[in-house]
Amino acid sequence: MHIEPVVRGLVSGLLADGEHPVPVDDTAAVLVRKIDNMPGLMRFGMRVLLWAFDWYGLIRGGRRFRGSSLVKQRKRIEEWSRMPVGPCRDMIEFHRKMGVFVALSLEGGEHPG
Amino acid sequence: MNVSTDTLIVGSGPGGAMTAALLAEAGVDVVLVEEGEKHPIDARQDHSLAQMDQKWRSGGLTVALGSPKVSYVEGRCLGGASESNAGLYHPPIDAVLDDWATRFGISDFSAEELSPHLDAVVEQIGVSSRPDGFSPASDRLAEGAEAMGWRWTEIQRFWRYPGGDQVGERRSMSETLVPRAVAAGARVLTGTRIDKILRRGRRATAARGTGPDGRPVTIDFKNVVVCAGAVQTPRLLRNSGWTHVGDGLTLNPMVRIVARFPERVNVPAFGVPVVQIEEFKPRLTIGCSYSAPPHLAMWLEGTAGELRRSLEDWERMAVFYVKACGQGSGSVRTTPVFGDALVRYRVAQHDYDVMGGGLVKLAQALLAAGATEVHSPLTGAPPLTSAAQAEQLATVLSPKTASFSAIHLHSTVRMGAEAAGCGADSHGRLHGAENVYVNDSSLLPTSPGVNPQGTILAVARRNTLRWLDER
Repeated sequence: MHIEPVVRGLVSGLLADGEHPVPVDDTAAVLVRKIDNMPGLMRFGMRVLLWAFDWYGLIRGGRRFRGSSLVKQRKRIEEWSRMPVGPCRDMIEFHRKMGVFVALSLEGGEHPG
Repeated sequence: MNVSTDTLIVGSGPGGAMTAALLAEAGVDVVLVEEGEKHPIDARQDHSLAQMDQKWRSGGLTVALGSPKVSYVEGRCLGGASESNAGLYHPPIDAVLDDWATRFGISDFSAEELSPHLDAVVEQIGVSSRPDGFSPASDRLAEGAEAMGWRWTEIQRFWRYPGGDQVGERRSMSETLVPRAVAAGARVLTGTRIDKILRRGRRATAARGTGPDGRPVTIDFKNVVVCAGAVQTPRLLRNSGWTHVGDGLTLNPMVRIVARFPERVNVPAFGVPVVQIEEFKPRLTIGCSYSAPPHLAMWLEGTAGELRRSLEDWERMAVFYVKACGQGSGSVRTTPVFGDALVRYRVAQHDYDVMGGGLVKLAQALLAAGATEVHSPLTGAPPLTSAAQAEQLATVLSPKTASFSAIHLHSTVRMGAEAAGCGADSHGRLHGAENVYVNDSSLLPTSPGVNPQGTILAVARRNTLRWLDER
């Protein structure tokens, strides 16, 4: 599965607002690279969670997460950040923490490569 | 590629670099193997995204599984973690060393016996204080400690400041002990991963792995010293059939919070803040972290716009931490199919209590030092502005809400008597093997409760000199 659209949606949903532009594409690209560099079991687990999260959008809102509106994407993120299942919350927390770290690092002049 | 040597050393962090330097200088033919690459010490800005990618295993995204999980980091470059950590030097606590000797039956080991090795480490590698005082954030922590009547101290670093230079020079392994080893004739193979040690009964004969070009590498040796850290060392030994190692993992779980002050406290030019509150060691360490805006933002909440508003006065904010001397325990195994290290850790209830109490203490100290608000680590909680509100922090950590990280991992091949459940003998020789040694943080029987790099170096020096005596 191509995870980049899901990761991009997560970065948008967690960070973007109307006030300031966010380097969504570059941030998502760095996050995808970081996921690909994770140890095997973590990488596999993260990909499964992203896949499940993408299809969860279809079940809850009629469209996969990647194709949902920003409002619906935020709603799905909010739901998963309160899930009783730890790995679901951890997946959102990872994208929130690493997303903001990467986005601000890139804005501060770090190169995405 | 086939290589032959007297002694193969796997891993070039503090333990491996110390072992390589001393053996090579004694005339032993040494090959030092490092999975990561050699990078100039200033190739990337310290604590940056690029440095994480370059010098840490998996870009710094490694996790001990459990509830909650604990994220940790491992160095993966020539010099290991010493190339990118804070380089804090804290001498071990005498009572902890004596406790290790007693509980784990370690012979010839005491605070007194380790002392000359610590002195040698300080003298030969270089440990310094900043020439121009602490960072303002460190000053606030010290003021807060004094207001609460607690002891605090400046932690020296493996650093030097020639001519009063503010930035200074990191005294990492690639700058100190590895060049010493090379000058004495050691061969260094970077980009080379050892997957298995081949053995004939109790005797190891060769190591098999992969070179930088992806081709197989075989290294024949008379002795092998595994110094790949508390995760990779037991992974390699277990893969090679020594399955009695890998249990007993200890680490120091850590929680961070952000505090805001009315004046400027965050000056990146000072680098890592160096003040720690001593009052509660070794049970609890309280200190200040590197606090550039991307680091601050990780511990705040909000959208990019909200964070930017929060960070408009980032120079008035800093990240602080509490770190418990972990009483939990974990293990290192190999993940089926993937082959990576599988690290599991259970945080003890004691550690929640210690860190919850530590957060209260930290918040009270910061507020006493003039902080206008302290951000709770609990998602969605409003900032705290009074000592009475700070009491709430005592109970914010639970398996469901806590987000722990750890920098220091130990004890997966404890040294001591076999009967005490130790993986290696009192000087690091693996139980059940004739010529396999361990010389890194894996040997420390429990968490030392202080920054461990000095202890690791001193223990490695002690063991290596002993091996040379026995030759």
